[in-house]
Amino acid sequence: MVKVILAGVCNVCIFYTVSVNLFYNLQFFIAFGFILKYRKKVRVTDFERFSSSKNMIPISIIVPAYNEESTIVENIKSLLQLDYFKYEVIVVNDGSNDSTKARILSEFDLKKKEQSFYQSIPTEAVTGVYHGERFKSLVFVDKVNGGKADALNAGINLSRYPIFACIDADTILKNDSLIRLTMLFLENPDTVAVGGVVRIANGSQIKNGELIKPGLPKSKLAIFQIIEYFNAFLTGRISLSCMNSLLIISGAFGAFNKKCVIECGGYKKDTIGEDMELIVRLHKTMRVKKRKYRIQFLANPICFTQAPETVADLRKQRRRWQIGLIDSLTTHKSMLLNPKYGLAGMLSMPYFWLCEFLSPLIELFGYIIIPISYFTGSLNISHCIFFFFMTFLLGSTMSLGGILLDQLLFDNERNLKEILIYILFAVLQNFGYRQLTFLFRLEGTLRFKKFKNSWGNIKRKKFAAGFADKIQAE
Amino acid sequence: MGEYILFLVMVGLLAFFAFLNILVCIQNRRKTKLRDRVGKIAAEMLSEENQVVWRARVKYIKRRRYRKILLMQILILFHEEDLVENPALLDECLKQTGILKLINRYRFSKDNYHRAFAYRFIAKLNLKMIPDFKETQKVPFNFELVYHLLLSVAHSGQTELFLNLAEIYFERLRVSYRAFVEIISEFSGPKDLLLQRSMETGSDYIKTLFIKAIRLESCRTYYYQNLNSENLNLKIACIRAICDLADKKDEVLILKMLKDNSWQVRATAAKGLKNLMTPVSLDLLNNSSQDNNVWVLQNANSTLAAVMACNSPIHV
Repeated sequence: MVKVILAGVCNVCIFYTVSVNLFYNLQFFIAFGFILKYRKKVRVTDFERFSSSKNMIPISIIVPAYNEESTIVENIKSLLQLDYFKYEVIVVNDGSNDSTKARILSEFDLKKKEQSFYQSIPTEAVTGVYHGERFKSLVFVDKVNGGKADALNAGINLSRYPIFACIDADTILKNDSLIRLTMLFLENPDTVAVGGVVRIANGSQIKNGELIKPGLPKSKLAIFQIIEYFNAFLTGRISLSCMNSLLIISGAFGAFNKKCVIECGGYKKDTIGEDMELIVRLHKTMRVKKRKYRIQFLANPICFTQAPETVADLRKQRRRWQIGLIDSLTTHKSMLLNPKYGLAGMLSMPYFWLCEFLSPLIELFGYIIIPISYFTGSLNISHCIFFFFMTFLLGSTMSLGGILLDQLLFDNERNLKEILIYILFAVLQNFGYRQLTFLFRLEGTLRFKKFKNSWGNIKRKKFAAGFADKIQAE
Repeated sequence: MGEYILFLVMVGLLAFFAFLNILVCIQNRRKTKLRDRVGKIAAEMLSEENQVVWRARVKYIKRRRYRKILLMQILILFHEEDLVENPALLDECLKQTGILKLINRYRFSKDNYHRAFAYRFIAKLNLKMIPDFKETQKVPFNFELVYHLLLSVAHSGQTELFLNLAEIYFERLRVSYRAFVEIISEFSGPKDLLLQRSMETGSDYIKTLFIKAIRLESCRTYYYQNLNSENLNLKIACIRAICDLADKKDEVLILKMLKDNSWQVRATAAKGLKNLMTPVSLDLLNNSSQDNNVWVLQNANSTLAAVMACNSPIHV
């Protein structure tokens, strides 16, 4: 009897793993179709005209900063050089206790100015708003520490334009990414939020918002993450976006309709997964109000970020992501399998619950039960080997698919040597890297309550090529 | 047995994906090289004086459709000044390479993006290939397609055709009004006549779009005419147009708008007064700075600050 139960449980585990991988592969084919169509569309869209047109929707870029002294000045400089006619950059210092504030004020020559603003979303006290003569589109907001979400909300309150983009202080935008992002708001007024691809910059040279020389990072951990990002962004998010059921737009880079976000109450403060939580809440609010809306993910407005290069940093990041995910999913559990929320409730929510939230627990269960079943003789060894190879093959195919999508989108960037190395790492990531991230996610799941409000610091380095000093005052 | 077959299929699929990656990479490198080459050729073709060299370039482009498309993509990115430098040579180049034929084929293609690309090319290069009435009536509601079609008509400067298309597409295509304003502002014919005709025939929405796009001294009458419209957007567009023209004589007219029932109108007037304000009317604006609506209040305060700064002793 025990043997039969064990065999049954094993079969369920095997079925789960194979179906999850098959689902990922199905996502690849949806994303592949979309990218082929998108390539055609991009060729005819007149980005050049709109980037310099006064008729384009103006946009506020909000950059929350907490202890970012090493990279913040360089990143603000890059933001001030974007190809866009009318935009403002609002840097919100969330009570940093390093020299972030001093560095920004001295570098950009900003002075405190009395300014009235309407507090659409309640936040911690704003202690000062700074402007400068040299960089008129730059606004520096100093406020009492309240967390990233609070800083973003303060930025929303101070923003002047109908669309805002939030960008992490350690990311760099590609020059034309803003125009590509906002074109979607122009093309479809029902657009509520748009996300863009985040690419790992480790090993590449970036100058003035352009990728000068793509290259491989020295850290193997970073290469594994590059391949992982291809899959997460180009396969996962694009396919869900095609069905208007995207549940996450990365906090590192996304643009939003300000009115809709204010209607929803802004970013939720007591969570570390504020980016996902906001998107889920936007879906919920729009569906409840029965409003037409689109939450989209675009394949080529991109920003560059740094991937953690040490296991300790990766652990903190993945644990944080998992906790943020669990928080958002449990807060909005009423959406799960609820037809009222359309595909977001009927497809994305179950997908995130089963494939993201519960997967570390199910995997752990599998790792325990399969050896037990084998030693008690309830599992056939050839079955076991077959299952292992199938999982490995499906996983590797999916990763190779991600690399392919990246090549189709950014068609002149990589050389053959790089591609061969990516292919190798796509295969190798099944032996160690996946298990490592599984452990970190498991830790996040099991210690959810303890780390619920802890961000953890990740060491930042300067980008490979500094930004040119030739930036000119407006 | 079934398991082995499945296993082999999966291994095959993995190998296929690896192969595909390598193939796409090689293909991408080739495309990059070709793009660079066609880029150089494009610049040479518009300036080359040696007939033998020029013909060789034409022959090279003519041989493959992909090269023609690449050349078209590159020409689209050229500055307008470079394109108008030698129009005869450009025309000859398009004719000889077979690009004109290709555009004509694309104009009637079933693929929306091909059609859009053809219209984009026509608009950018200002080609004398104005879409005829029949051609413009059967266009699917695809943003790129409609946008480039309208832009090509706007560049041709045909008032009646443009107005006709505006009526068909502006209200039916669900796109931000800014896209239409951009198209109207590119109209190369007499803009005052266009505005006049749109005021005669258009709906309030159409009128709003044209007023937003056309800010001309000679069109002042139309702004005044619609200043008391019941349509809020139209009224706001008129206030903005009048304020943009920045004639101090209009100050009284706009100050009246500070007492409007709609807060949007009051906020627009308070903001627009920045261009018209004289210290004489400071009191009226001061009242607005105690308005119940936060946006009116904010705009009034901002205008007051600007006016005070301009009239401060330092400025004097």
